Parts: sequence; structure tokens; C-alpha cells
Amino acid sequence: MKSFYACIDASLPAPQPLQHLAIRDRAAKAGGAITFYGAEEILTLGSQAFIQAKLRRYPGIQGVVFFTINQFAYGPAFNFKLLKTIVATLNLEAHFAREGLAIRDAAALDALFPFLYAVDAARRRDADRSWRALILQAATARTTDTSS
Amino acid sequence: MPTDDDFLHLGYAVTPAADLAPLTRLRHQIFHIAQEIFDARSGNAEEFFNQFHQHGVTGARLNDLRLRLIERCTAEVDAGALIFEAFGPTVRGLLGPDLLVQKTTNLVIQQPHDPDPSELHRDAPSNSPYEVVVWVPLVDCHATKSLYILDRQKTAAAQELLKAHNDDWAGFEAHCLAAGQGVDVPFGSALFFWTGLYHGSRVNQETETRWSVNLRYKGLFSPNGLKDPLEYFRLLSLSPLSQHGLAFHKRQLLG
Ligand SMILES: [Fe+2]
Repeated sequence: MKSFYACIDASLPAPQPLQHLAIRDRAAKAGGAITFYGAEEILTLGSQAFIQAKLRRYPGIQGVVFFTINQFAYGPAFNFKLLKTIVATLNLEAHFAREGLAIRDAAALDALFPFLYAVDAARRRDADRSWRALILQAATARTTDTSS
Repeated sequence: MPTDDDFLHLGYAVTPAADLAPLTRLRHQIFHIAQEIFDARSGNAEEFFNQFHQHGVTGARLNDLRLRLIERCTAEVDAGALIFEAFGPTVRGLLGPDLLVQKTTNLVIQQPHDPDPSELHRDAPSNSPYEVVVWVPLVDCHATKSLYILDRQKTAAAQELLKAHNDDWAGFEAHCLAAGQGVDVPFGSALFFWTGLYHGSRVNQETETRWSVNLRYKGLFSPNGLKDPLEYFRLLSLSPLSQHGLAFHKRQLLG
């Protein structure tokens, strides 16, 4: 059985027990179980310095399960460098619970690159006019309507 | 294509498959899994689906088995690719060559007189307004066995009504049920519609069960909805030019 490091998303309001449930489920589907847990420090959300150091320190693991692949998108650019380090230098598998995605080696990262890059690029392009913001505006307008 | 005009003016169009063979394969694969899950045998997919209510599976048990069916179909049937093979020219005509397809396929079983048809709703803005919904019946669907939909103008009018009376959902629903147009879609065709249109289904008053699947296609570079593409979609196709552009960025970022 494979041994995985679990890395939850510290920036999400999603309760941590729910994140752990999803991560455990993903680890089981990938043929393993979680043996170590961690969460990125808020100040290093963008650089992911915490997880990078941790993964180098645990030689016994075969992979890491993140809650979401968006944990690689909190810096000024998508952190392809770290993804490559994980799968190509540290030879670890990378799994993502929310998306049900697996990147097991450098070839898998190459294959997934067009999808990851294009989606991330579109998201950054549209960041200040996201639908979430528009929906909040609509909800605010409705509240104002009701009170008048 | 005449359906381009329909899609532009109405926001929806019923389109025959450019190639029927992949749709027949899709129906056969779902039929095969459904016979196992519902422990029922039939020599004919159309007969099995249309007469499904004769097996007496209803309520929570039906939903339970339907979810198992969706799980198996997601794992074993590539509906997104088969539907794209069948309707490729229409999908590419609406969205272009750089395409995402929904990862899981929704499957709906609507038996005669089931009191819980699909609720009135629109898919956007939860989904992106740059996505198209493809609704594919596995049997001929007409009248109340099918969907109803409000075209672009009727959807806009309904929205005005809801804005003016946003505390009256029942009134809004009655308005939409009266304004909604039933769409006849035979097996071999699909209903393509813009995610912003209100739609739903009525209680099935016909004597046959409706089986239908639905999923969404989206342009890779188009604005997203609330649903994260990395979670809900997968990459389906890239133009040769986009392959060059993305390979260029890959060399920069991954070496
Ligand atoms: Fe819908």
C-alpha cells in the first residue's frame, strides 16, 4: 500500500474535516493511505514553501494528496515549477481530491499541461469580473429590493 | 445549417446527428449496464427504456440505482466523446475547435406520472454563459415525455417578472410552465441550448418512460462560470494552432 502526505487548502472556508475526508478517499482510490498531514502556512500560500520543504523531508512516502489543484494557483503564476519538482525530481505522485486528478510522473504533467495552463490563464484574465462577484452583486440588489 | 438560425433566435435548436453510429453505441452501452444494475433483461434497448416503468422501481430505490448507473456509466462509457462524434459539426460550429467536455454525464429517468419532474431552472450563471447544454434522449421524446424550454425572449420576459416579484416563486413557476415550449426530440437528434435559458420537465403523462442524458461543452479559453473547469470538465480537443501555442508555453514553464 502506498503512503501519502496530505496537504489541505488553508485558504478555504471548507471545514478541514471535510477536506480530510475527500483527501482520504482520493488516497484510497490511488491505492494508498495518508500517513502524514500538513497545511500551508498562510504567509507561504503563494510560494508553497512549507509543502516543498516537507516533501523533501519524508523519504518514505510515494506521493502527496492536495485538497485542490488550485493550491498551485495562489501565487502570481501557476506553480508549474513545484509540480515538476514533485513528479520529476522527488519522484512522487501528485493527487488532487476535489478535481479527482492524478499526476503520477513527468509525462502525465506534460499531457495535462495544456488544460491546466489554459484554464489558469483564462481565470487570471477574468479575475476581476468573475461570476462569483456578479452573483454577489445580484444578491445585494435583491436584499435592497426586499427592504424597500 | 438551418439550426444555426434557430440557435441564434431562440437560444436552442434540435439537431439530427451527423453520424448516428456513435449515438447507437452510446445507447447500447448504457442499456448493457442498466440491465445489470436493474437486474432486468430485454432484447431491445428502445423497448427496455420505454417500458422501464413496468419493472416497478421507484422512489429512493430508483434514485439509488440511478446513481450507481451514473457511476458505472462515468467509468465505462465515454459519453462526452461519443456525443461529440455524433454531433461534431454542431458542437464545433457553436464553440470552435478548442473544447472542454463535462467529466460526468447526467442521466435522467422520467417514468409516467412520476410526481417529481426536473425543477424549473437555468444552468447559468452557475455554469458559464459560454457553455452549451446538449440534451440527448435515448428514446423518442415528445409532449410531456420531453423537456419544456423558454426561448431567449421568453426567458428575458420571465426574468423581468421575477425581478418585479422576487418573493413569488409559485407565480413565476406557473408563468414559466405556461410559457414553456415542449420540444420534440427523436432518438438520433439532440436538443442544444444556451445555458441561460429556463427549462424543466412536466409530469410525464405519456405511457412511456423517458431516458435521457445531458452534458455540457465549453470553449477552453472562454470565461468560466462558478463551476471550476478543472473539477467539472476535461480537455476534449485542441486546434493545431492552439497545440503550437500551448507547446510554446510548456517549453517556457516545464522545459
Ligand atoms: Fe439544466
